[in-house]
Amino acid sequence: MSANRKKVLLKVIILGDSGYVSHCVGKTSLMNQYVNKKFSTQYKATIGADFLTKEVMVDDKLVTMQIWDTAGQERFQSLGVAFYRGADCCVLVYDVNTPKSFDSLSSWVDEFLVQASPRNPDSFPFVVLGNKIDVDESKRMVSARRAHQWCESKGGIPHFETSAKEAINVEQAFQTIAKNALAMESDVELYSDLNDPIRIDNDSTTDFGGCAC
Amino acid sequence: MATNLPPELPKDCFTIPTQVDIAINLFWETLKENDSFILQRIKARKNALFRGMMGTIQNVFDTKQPPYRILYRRGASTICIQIAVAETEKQIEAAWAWVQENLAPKVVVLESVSEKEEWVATKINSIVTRIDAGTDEISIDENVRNASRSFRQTFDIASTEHLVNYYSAAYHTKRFTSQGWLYISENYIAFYSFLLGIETKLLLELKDIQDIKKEKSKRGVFSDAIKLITKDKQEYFFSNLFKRDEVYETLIQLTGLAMQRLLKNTSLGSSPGAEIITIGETEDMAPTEKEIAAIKSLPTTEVQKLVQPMKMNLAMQKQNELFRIHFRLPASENLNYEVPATYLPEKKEEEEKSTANGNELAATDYTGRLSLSEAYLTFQCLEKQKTLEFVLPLYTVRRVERLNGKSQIYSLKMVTWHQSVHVFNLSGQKVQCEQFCEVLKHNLKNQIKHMKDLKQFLATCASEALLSDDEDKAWDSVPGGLGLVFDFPGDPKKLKDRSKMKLWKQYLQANGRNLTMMHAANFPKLIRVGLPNRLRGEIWEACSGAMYLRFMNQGQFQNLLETYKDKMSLSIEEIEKDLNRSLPEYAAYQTSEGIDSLRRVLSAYSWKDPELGYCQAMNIVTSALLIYMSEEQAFFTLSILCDDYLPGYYSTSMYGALLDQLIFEHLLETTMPMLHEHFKKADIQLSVACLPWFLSLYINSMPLLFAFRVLDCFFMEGPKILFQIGLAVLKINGAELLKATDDGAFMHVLKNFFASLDDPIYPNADTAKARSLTKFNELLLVAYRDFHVVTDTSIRQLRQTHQLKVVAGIESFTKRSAIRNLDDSANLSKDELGVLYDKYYNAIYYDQKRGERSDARMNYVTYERFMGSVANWAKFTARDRTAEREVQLGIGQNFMTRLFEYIDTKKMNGLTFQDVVTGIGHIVRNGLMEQIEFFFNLHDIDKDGFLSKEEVLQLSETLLWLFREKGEEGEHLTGVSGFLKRAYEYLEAKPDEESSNNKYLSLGSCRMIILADETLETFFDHEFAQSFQLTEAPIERQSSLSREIFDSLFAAGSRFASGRGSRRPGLSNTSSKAPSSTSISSIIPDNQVSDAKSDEIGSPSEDSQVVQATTPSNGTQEAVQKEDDGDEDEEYGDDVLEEVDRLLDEFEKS
Repeated sequence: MSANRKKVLLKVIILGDSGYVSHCVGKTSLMNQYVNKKFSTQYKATIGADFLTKEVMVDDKLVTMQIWDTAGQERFQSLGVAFYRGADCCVLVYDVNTPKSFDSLSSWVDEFLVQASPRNPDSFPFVVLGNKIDVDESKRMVSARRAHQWCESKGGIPHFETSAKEAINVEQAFQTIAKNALAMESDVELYSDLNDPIRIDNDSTTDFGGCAC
Repeated sequence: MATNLPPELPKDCFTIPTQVDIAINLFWETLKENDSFILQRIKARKNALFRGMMGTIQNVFDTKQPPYRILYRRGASTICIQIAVAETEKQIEAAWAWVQENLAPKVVVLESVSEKEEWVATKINSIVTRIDAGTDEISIDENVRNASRSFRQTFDIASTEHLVNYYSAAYHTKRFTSQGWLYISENYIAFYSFLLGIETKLLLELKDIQDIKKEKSKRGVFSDAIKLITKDKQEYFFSNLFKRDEVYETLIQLTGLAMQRLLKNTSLGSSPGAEIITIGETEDMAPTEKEIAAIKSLPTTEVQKLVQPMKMNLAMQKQNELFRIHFRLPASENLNYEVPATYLPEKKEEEEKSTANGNELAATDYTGRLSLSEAYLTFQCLEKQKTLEFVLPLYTVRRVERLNGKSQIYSLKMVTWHQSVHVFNLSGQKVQCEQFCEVLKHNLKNQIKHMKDLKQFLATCASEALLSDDEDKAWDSVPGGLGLVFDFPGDPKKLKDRSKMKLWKQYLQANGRNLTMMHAANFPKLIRVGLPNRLRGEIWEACSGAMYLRFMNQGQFQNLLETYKDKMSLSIEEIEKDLNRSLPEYAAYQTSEGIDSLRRVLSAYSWKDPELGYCQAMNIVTSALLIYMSEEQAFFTLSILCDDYLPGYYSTSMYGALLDQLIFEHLLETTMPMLHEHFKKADIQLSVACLPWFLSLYINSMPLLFAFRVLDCFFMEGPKILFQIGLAVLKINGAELLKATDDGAFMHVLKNFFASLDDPIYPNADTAKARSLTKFNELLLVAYRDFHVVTDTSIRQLRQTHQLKVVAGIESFTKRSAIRNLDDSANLSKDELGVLYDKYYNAIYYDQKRGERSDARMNYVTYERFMGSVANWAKFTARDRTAEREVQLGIGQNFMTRLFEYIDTKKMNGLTFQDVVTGIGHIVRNGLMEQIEFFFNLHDIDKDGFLSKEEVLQLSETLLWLFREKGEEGEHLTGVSGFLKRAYEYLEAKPDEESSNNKYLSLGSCRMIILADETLETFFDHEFAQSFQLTEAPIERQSSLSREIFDSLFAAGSRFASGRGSRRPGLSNTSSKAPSSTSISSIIPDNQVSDAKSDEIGSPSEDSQVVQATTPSNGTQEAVQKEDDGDEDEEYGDDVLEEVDRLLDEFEKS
């Protein structure tokens, strides 16, 4: 009932490592491949945050996806998080050739949940993308099976292996992202009457037990 | 060692000799005396009521004297000299013994009274200054000495803590208002009141304060109150502050310093810019030890220099800072001397003579202030209608002479390197002028050595080429930015570059160039129209002070590059990644020449400041600088940006950027409340768009050409311009922004605006001039016109007042992030890691000297403090440090050292947070067998797998030491002695040296012996592991104090018990009971203390109010909250008066 009322805007946040190793996981590349169908190795460094928008059809509904890209350096995490709030889906990206970037995924989940304080942290939609599968198979360090297991253990997070460079699986991944985000959005709409702004520093008492009505 | 001269010199007792009149002080009774000295005690010590009254009096006069003192008699007079004070009889006895032994015999020998007195005074003085070097005990201000001592003793604070000031104040809680004293020291704010038997003690760490607010007092009439809010959202309200604003300013300054330390302290892990090495250097000795050693080696005369009270230091610090910032001088400069003066411009020298005679000021003279620092002379015109400001580096001054005019005027003539003449008439008093000249002479002498560097330095300055006789040729040899090769952005014709250059030539000819360039009235105008390409770099560095830095550090840039040629660091990796994503639109950065340049500047900077290293956005700023500046110029300008203009922007926590964002939002709220309200309602995060503006100085947001215009203003006017531009952007787009309902739309409006900056505002205007006005012109106009209220001073103040709010957020982030980045959590839970994190960084915080670079590793001294906060047995109490426990102390420290070495797995002589987590994690998770083996190995010093006799003994001693606070039940004692006995029985020869006479204890035997004793078994099984407190204490903030608060609570309780006959079985024994009850409380283990504390959590604002407790005869304690039946506004309500009556009544009975 709610989806048709106004134009649906889906806010998607892309997170993932880049502070530790000499290669980024490819957040900006993925976003650009999906939105602009382009791949380049040279972007301007993202300072703070930036976003691109794309209109897509999901289940016969036209929705606008607002995809937020974040600054690469770790130190930016202490400030570039204000826009996490109100996110409809969080995309976690790792580099299949860099184990550390995969190991960090749980911290990213934690950090995102702390900063975004979503209404239902347990059912908030995440999607995991293992990028850079175009690199020589011999250099691969994170197997699809291992990643899959991890995603299952986290309550069945959808998992894709992608290549922003070769445009492999990017479209499919973002379709799922859009779909899950939309599901989230509809949920939120139902509760919109209760929707008071949640502060980051809210007391722990306010975000649980909220459904006492 | 001191042991060979018994009795040992007691510490912390002797005071700087001060006079007291024993005739007028009736509260003292003499315990001991000899011909020269008297030992006295406060009479009221044993009498609860008397003590209460004494306390009241002391409280009112703030003369909370320790109860014991030693006086030196000056002959027959009643005037004595106090030489020592102490809180306990034991301490004073020790001091007395020492006096008896060392002073008394010699005093007798001396002849005259004055000779004796001088000898005693000198002797004591030298002791005090030696022992207390650097503490308030040798403050030149006696009030500070006394107050500081009473503060430190009341709150059990280290003697090195400096008291800043103390104020009479009232502390309000929901129930009470108590009048007392507010103490402010370097690290704490404390309140103490002891009125009519009710003791109120409050101690807050400055680093825990999140906000300080000026308030009206509760009745709302006087603006004399301050509210403090701590990070755990507790509020503390103080009123009746006579000097409220001073208190506020002091607190802002101190908490600011605390915050800086905190941020350094908790910066993410180790320095990202530090070279990656595997074997570390261990030269980092504890600074305190170093210092103490240095002080000890000094001859007494030098040590005797009394310390300035902290308050004056702070005031000086502030003044220096303002002076430096105003003139953009290097951080090494201090304001040495100031004198009012009139500046007479060069050409007017003839005129000056005539006017000086007539005592009239010529219209072209500038009256203002001349200030002098180590290497610079500055002048600032203070006349309303005139503008002139300049800095004369002393190393550019060739000649100074005093002009011998006829009149009284003290006139100085200075000739600079460029032969320009500056004449100043000093208008201060004669003495002042002479002193000024003395300092000037001295400082000039010190700078002469730098003059020889001038020539080569000036060869790098564009202004020299511009003013040279052969201009075209001169330009060829001046280094400059990439623009020289790859062209400067924009069309020079359209930018009117040539005519701008001409104007600047005139300006520099008239007003001095590069190092000695003055800021005259038309200076800002020339800059606001945009700088000419070839002068831009130099004006930037001259305005920002980067030029002084470059002059003083010639060669540093090249040296850094040399030194770290092939070295790697995390920052170097990060820089490499960003080189190609900095300013790809500019031609130079599509070639290796530009990229290499950028790499050199960024890496050199990361080596210069490894703690900061490299932060994204620096690449963008630097690549912009390099278009107009040489690499060396850009390097020093980057330094100035990171340190002065944008402090904390690029640090690992980026607190500066967050802080300015907060200020920006605050300014938006005050200047455009409607817009602010809209953003709030729509939940639009301003920072999403605005943070990058500030971080990259608009270079990333605006078309380059305009960004440079902003930079021109920025370097001239300081960081305020960033705010002004930002506010102007929001204002101009106000109508559009009000329509935006989400972050995305918001950013869209701004992006469009920036892209249209070159568009005309009046495309259809009649005149060409009006048509040529662009949106950028409008932006500058609005920025300056509508937001002129934003000044550099106001930004600085806002930064000070807002910084506290930023810290808490950063702290919790760095904490999460540090815990997340641990390689090995040693099976500790998140909460346990959190507790360890807090304790680790808390210890480092207090051992870190201000302004010093934080060390990523914890040294032994800090480790001791840290361990003390983690495990009770590791806490070295004052009792542990007494002479009678000296041997035990040695054993304890031995054990602690071994533990340190065990935790320090990388043998770096310092512990990282990871080391601590791994080490303690293991110990805590050890099972019975593992724990025994752990202790075994720890004492197996030669690592042969066996304990020798000596090693067995040491193990037993360690155990005894660990059990030292276990009370006298004897189980542990028996356990250990049993262990030792049995261990000796089971000594055997090593398997491979059967014939040897040396006997050893094997791990197996050791295990067996321990398992045979229940006490020991329990200890190894879980007691030791559990002794590590890795759960959040109920009130962590006051953990160090809890014992003491409990003690006072207990004492206050027993005191009060005497006032409430109804609750107490007997009356007569109270006086003698007071001391004994204190000793009981010290036996009660800490967990009970925390229980008592947790009871109070129910009324959080009361948590530090020491409430009356009763001590029922059955021995159990319960804290009884005082009934609140009075009007909370009544400060001295009926109940208090009633209480006085009761107390007096009791007094009569006894």
